[in-house]
Formats: sequence, structure tokens, C-alpha cells
Amino acid sequence: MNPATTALLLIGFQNDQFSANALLRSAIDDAERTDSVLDSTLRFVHQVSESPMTVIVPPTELTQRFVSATNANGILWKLRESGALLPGTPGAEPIPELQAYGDRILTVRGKSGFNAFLNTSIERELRDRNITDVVIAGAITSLCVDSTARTAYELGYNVTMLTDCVLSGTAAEHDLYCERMFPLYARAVDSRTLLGELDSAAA
Amino acid sequence: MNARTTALLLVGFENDKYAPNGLLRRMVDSTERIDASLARALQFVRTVAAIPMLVISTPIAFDPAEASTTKPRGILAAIRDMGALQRGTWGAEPIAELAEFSSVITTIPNRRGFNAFTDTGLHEILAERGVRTVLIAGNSTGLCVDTTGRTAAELGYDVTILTDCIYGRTFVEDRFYIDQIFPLYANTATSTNVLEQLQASLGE
Repeated sequence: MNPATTALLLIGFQNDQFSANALLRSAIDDAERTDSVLDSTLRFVHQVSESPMTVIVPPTELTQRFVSATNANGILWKLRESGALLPGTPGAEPIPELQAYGDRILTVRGKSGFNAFLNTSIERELRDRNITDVVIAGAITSLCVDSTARTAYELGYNVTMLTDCVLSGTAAEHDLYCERMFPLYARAVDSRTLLGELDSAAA
Repeated sequence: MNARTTALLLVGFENDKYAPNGLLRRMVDSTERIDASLARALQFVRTVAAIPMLVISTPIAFDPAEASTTKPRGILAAIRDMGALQRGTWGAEPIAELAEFSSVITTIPNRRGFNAFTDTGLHEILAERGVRTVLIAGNSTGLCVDTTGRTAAELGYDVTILTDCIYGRTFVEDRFYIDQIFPLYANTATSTNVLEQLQASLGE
């Protein structure tokens, strides 16, 4: 994997999911998992920020127009009704740890549902940078992470899932996706292993 | 649910998936689940064939001529390398049981991956017919059914997964998707339950 032709997609790293008193922390059955995913991800971002790797943050903003068109019993409605990820609110903003990177991270707006490629310019940004490999971290494993990764796969990218940097609601969900689903269309590997490979490739 | 604005999507009813000597049956932990889901799906098609409702089949096939340029990876490459679902072969043909419904089934032939909406024109066809509700039957639960269902939901369709008309690679996968994943974006119901709703809509 060449960092110059690789893009890291950081899905759902927003205040409502990851900050200390976040609304959506209660959707994760083990509080420590949120912190662990955050720590691993920030360590990975710190390392790759010194490489030429493209880093993209597509925050989810649950617009009324998009959500009202989806199934009224579905999770997007429930999230919106709970007041989470509303456009223009602090909760929907990327976490400050990522904002601190300023222009080093590309923020792409428009994501309103599960799939970060839908209604956003991500596909064009990847094409413009001659990206061949996509690395994915974020929340939630079975929803935005999976939908976005499948789309990247279908668009022809080599997809790598960072197993210690994806946030799952339950351990069962995490194991099913990391062990049974992701390997069907991606490489599933932990961030330390991938960092080691990037270092040895650069050496 | 209104039958006149509903479409049934048949996802992946090819010989390699369902026929007794289909190449992909060995990827599934119990062929009984394949056969049971097929029996229910065929029963459902037989019933809705008699009412004014759109039925669409979206078979998947790999074109040998494209292999050098498109480079599928992962499970799709594995399927291709097994020689399964090759365009123009018996394995990629719709199962024989669907032949008697050929006059009511609209076939959309260009699916090459998990998502029946990618490069197939499916969204345009549904929009032209005024479809609001999409019912999904087929396989496999965690791949083509889920990917197609999510996309339908994100495109604004009301989605119902027919829980007795789908199968995945394992029983565990089927249970997890039906209990935990599908309800996040879709309705889940048995074909019997959905038929009652459709028939009620025609009586109104």
C-alpha cells in the first residue's frame, strides 16, 4: 500500500458519538469500546498525518429532507428524533481532536445516511487524487462503516478495514463483521499491523 | 402497502445459487435453508403474479470478456474463479421454476456486484412505475440482499425484507441480519404476512 495513493475515510467521528457525554454513547453496550476505538484511531491518524496519505472526514448530518424519505421505523428517524447529528449543531461537528489537524484533513459535507459516497463529492476527490486504496475507520460498524466500505469495493478500490478503529454496538456485531463480513470484500487488519507495513514500505 | 405501487425484487435466482447441482450451494451451511426459502419465494411469486404488482428479477453475472479490465476482488473474485455465474452459462441462467412466470417478471440483466442499483437502471425503472414500496427476496442475506435493501432505503423507498424468502451462508448470519440489521432501515415480515397486506390493499 502506497500512502500517496491511499485515502483514509474517518466515518462518524462526531461529538454526538465520541465526546465524553455524547448522546449516542448509550448505543454502545460497553463504554470502554468507544474510548478504545477513539484512542486507536487518533494514534493511527497521528502517524499517517506525517505521510502523504489523504485523510477524509465526511460528517453525517441528518437533514430532514433525507431522513423523512426513509423508513419511519428506521434508525435514521430514531436518531433524528433523539436530537442527534442535526445539521448545524455542535453534536454533528467532527470531534476537536480531528479539527486540530486543520487543512491536513479534508472535510466533505453531504452525508445524510449510511453511505458516505451518496450525495457527497468523495468519489470525485478519490479520482482526482488517483487513489487506489481506501482505509476505513469509524462508527457504526454494521451501518455507515459497512455501507461505505461496500460502495468503495464496488467502485473498484482495494479496501482495508481497521478492526480496532471501528465502533460496534455489541461484541457480537463486531465479531460478525470483522471475522465474517468484511473479509468478503476487504482486508480486515488492526491499525498497528497496517502502520508497521506502511513504515517498512517507506524504509 | 399498496400492491399497485409495490415492486418485488428477486435478487439472485440463478441456477448456481438454487439448482441441486449449482456451483455455489456448497458455500451455504445447510442446503435445506436454500430449498425452504426458494419454496416460499416461488409460492409468493405465484400469488403476486395474479395481482397488479411489478416483479423484477436482478440476476448477477460475470462477463468473461470484462475480467481483465474490471478486476473483481474478494468474494466476487472467488465466485468468478470458481467458474460460477459466468454470463452465457447455465449457472447464470434464471432457475427453471421462474420460466412459467416469464410474462410477469421484468428482468434487469446488468448486475455485477452486491448492489442491484449499481449501473442497472433499477432506480429509474421503479421511479417510472411510481413504485413506493420494495419487497426483497433472494440471496445472500448479508451481501446482495442487505446492500440492495440499504440502497433502496437510502433512495427513499419503503423496504420490506421477506424473511422466509431469503438465505445467507449460515443460519447465524440469517438470524443476525433479520433480528439486528434489517430493522435498522427496513420492515421485516414473512411472505404470508405481506400477502395479507397486499390483498387488503386491492380490496380497498
